Amino acid sequence: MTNRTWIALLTMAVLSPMGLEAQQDPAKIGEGAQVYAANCARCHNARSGTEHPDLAWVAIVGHMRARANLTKTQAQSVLAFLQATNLPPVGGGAAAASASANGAASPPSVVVPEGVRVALLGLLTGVPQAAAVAALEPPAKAAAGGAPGGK
Amino acid sequence: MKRTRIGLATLAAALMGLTAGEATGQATSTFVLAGYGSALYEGATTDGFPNNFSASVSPVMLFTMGDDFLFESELEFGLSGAATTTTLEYAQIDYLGFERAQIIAGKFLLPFGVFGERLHPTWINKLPTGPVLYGHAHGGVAEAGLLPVLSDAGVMLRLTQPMGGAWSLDFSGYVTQGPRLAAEEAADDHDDEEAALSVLAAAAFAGSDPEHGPETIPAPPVAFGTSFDDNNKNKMVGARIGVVKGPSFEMYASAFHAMYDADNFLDYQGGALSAEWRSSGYELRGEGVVTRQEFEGGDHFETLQRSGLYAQVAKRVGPWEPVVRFGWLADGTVDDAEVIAGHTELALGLDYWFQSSIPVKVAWEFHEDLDDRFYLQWAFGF
Repeated sequence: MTNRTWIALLTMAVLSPMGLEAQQDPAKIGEGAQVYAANCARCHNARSGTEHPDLAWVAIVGHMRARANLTKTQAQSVLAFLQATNLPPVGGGAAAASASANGAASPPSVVVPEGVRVALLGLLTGVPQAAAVAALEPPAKAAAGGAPGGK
Repeated sequence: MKRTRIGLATLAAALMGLTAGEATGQATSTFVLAGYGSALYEGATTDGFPNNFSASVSPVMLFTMGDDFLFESELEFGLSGAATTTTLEYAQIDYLGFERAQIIAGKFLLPFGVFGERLHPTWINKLPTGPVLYGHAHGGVAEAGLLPVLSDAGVMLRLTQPMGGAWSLDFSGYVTQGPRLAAEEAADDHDDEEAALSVLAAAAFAGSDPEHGPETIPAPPVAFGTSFDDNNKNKMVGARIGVVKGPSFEMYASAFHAMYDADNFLDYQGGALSAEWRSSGYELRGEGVVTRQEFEGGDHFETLQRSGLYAQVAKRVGPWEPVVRFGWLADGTVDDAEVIAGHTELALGLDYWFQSSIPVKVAWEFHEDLDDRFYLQWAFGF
């Protein structure tokens, strides 16, 4: 196998916990990041994709779609984005433990460094991820970095 | 090196296989328990207002069935004396199968203005209290404002039309039970604690005016969404239309019309303008509301007109967020004669965000002709 094949294979392996949406349509994740940044901050602070298991986001995004008057396509892209960024923090953590305890379709126990995750996400989607990354940072960092909505 | 590559390939295959396995086992239904809660301390600058600790919890239950159906419900638990109070904030079925439309049926938050539908949860609202327009109660009757947070039973159609860029045109239209006399509601079900509380809240509102006792307010208090028994055949019809450029700009116009008496004679109308603007960490929002309520004044009908507005600005600085809100209620008038004194309120607050949904809020409210009030609230969105 060529080096390129190895890289592709490893990239898919690392990204596989990001969910099927990420693998099937990476452009949707980029669109979802933009819709997320443009709409969620209209009412509240950005919530991290790691706060809930993947399946929980299906219901929560439906709930939010009605509040924000999103189109179906926009809601699906936000869901893809949240699920794609729903990875356990480096070293595990309470969110990952909680998701695992819930028995929902949480990501496998693969720990992906933040930098690698962001780089791979940007590589796949081909769109600027600054807004999405800022939205996932803790409040203090997000505000200092000019997060969408500044909340 | 060859052994390493084989190992990596095996790992990759295993991980991809695990994901595929999850896909084939993907459930078509989901249940999520979310919501919010808060702990609050409120005190006053004089002895005329008690200093209280209180708490509330509002669980939100979400059920999905496939991609297109969602059932969502929010309960609100509180205390009244020795009893636990429960309010059904909303219980609705959403059909999400259309690209640009949603059909909603059940009891839902009315898209009248913006605060009541989207901003009143304690982890979202940047101050411990709601704007003076909407009072401070959720029981269906405005405790000290023009309207409560409106929730009612009926059907709703929501439409959105993307217009390029981040711009979109939003429309929401609904038909619901509509308001009815709060006293009539309590009489129908005198054991219903919520209805009784609504009447008490209305009485407290009327009596809170130092210059006008309850008997000087001619129009009777009405209740929204506190009962599924309609008192007439008339339904409340309302709509909200707006333009949005997320996340920086939104502007909406809202209106509703209903008859609230058993004989379908007495009108109740409301209108609102709402605008929001965000830039460079600043958030500025404001709303203006007008209500008109017909009532029987002897041998003829008269109209009580009330109006008010609020404006709020907040600026996020790291985890801190100072907030200033100004609220104003105009004098309530009948035939241009004042029957309810106006009121102004200035709230200064400072929030500290531990996490994106966990703020601690400190606020001081300055009220014209009433006690100034201090609030300390810890909210939690989950």
